Amino acid sequence: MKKAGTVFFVVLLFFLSAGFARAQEYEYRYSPEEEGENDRITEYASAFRETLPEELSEESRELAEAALEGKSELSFSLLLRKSFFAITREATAPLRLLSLLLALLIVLSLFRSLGKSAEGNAGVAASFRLCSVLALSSCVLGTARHTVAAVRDILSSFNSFLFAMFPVLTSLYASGGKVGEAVAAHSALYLLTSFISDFCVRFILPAGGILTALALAGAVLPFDLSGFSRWIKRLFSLSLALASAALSAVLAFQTHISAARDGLALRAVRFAAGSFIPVVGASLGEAFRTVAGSLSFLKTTIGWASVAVVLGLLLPVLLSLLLFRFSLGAASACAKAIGCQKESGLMEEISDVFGLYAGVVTAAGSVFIVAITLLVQSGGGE
Amino acid sequence: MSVCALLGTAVLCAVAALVLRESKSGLAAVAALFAGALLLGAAGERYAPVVRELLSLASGSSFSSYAGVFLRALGVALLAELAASVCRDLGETSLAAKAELIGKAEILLLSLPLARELIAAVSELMI
Repeated sequence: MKKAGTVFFVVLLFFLSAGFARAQEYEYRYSPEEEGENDRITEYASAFRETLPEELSEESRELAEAALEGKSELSFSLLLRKSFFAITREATAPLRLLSLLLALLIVLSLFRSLGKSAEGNAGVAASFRLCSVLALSSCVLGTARHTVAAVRDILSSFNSFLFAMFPVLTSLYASGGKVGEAVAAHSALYLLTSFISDFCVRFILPAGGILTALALAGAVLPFDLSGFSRWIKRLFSLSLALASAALSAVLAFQTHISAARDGLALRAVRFAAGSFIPVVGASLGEAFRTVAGSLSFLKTTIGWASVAVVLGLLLPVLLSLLLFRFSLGAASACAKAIGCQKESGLMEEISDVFGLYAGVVTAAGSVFIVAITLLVQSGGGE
Repeated sequence: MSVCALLGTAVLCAVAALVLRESKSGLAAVAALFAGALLLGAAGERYAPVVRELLSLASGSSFSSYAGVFLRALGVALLAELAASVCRDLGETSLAAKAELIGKAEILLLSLPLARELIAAVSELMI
């Protein structure tokens, strides 16, 4: 009886002490300032900005940083404003070149009109024509030298990025046990790398030098070399267009990137590409669906910062090439109008060389975007 | 001088040279040479703003070093043409040919740096 009473008393004591224990509602209010979250985001954004490649323009850096900090959406007005700034910055050199070429052509035509009235001084006129052709060509190649070097640099950068992706991509797949997919991804990446390094850099780029040399020789020498120039240009343009079309077909079959829906915006981009980007614009029209799908995938997984970085690498060079092409075309038309036929042909042929470079950069850029998407996909981004 | 005055001077000098030639005086060639030099100088003064504009456009660009070469070549070509024309007017076609030869050589010499720069630029493209 005494033992039962003791047990009852102990159990009662436990029950009574349990009355003080209860669940408490904890109110937590998220305060970024208290947590230092804003400072951390700013620190990440500035660290990210430092890792951006040097070739990226200032506008692209700002866009990427803003996208990372979540400060702004990539609205149409923001994109239009940044595009306008980029165009005005890139248009300075081509417009300056155009005005310089027009001034040289005016001086040349004045001398021509003086030379026509005198007899027997074809020797002096021919020498001065040689000097003027050399001056025009030096003007064009000297002004556009940085742009041509930028084409080589950007292809070299793409090449380096793609080579760096090889071990990462295959390791990611293999570590997940997907050996077959690792092999497939490796072969796809090898194809893309070969397209840029072996085809674009070693085969198509030297064609620009050959065509320029032929154009100069044709302008200086008394015989017409335009037939050779046209044949070589057709050969290289056809090679690039065929390679781009074949690559587009292979990518469509091999990759898991779903193509973007064929909406109005995409059709507008394909029309613009076919009109303004020479050689490969039309054949890459179908590939733009894959490229648009890739950009959409990158935006979904990484965010707008990735799209801003990729496009910021590619678009300034492409824009500069197209603007130089338009300037040389305008100068060629003016030269023809004032009777400088040889000089007009020279500038038209150099304009075609810039068009070829624009086609190469577009094709390589499309390949690069698809390769980046493959890498992100392999990391489990889908 | 205005354009009308310059053109009038050219016509008057031509008439004067014709009259002097009729009188079989050796001053006809001197008159033609004087008129030619005067008109060339006046033309140079007229085109000076174009030259200045060309130089200002070229300044700051990679072509600035060669703009002077181009303009010098233009001046040499004009002077060579003037000299050759005067020699032909005086009936000395061989001297005219030699004046042209000197002009051609000088222009080619001035073009050498341009050609060198251009060959280097095209070689860079072909690598």
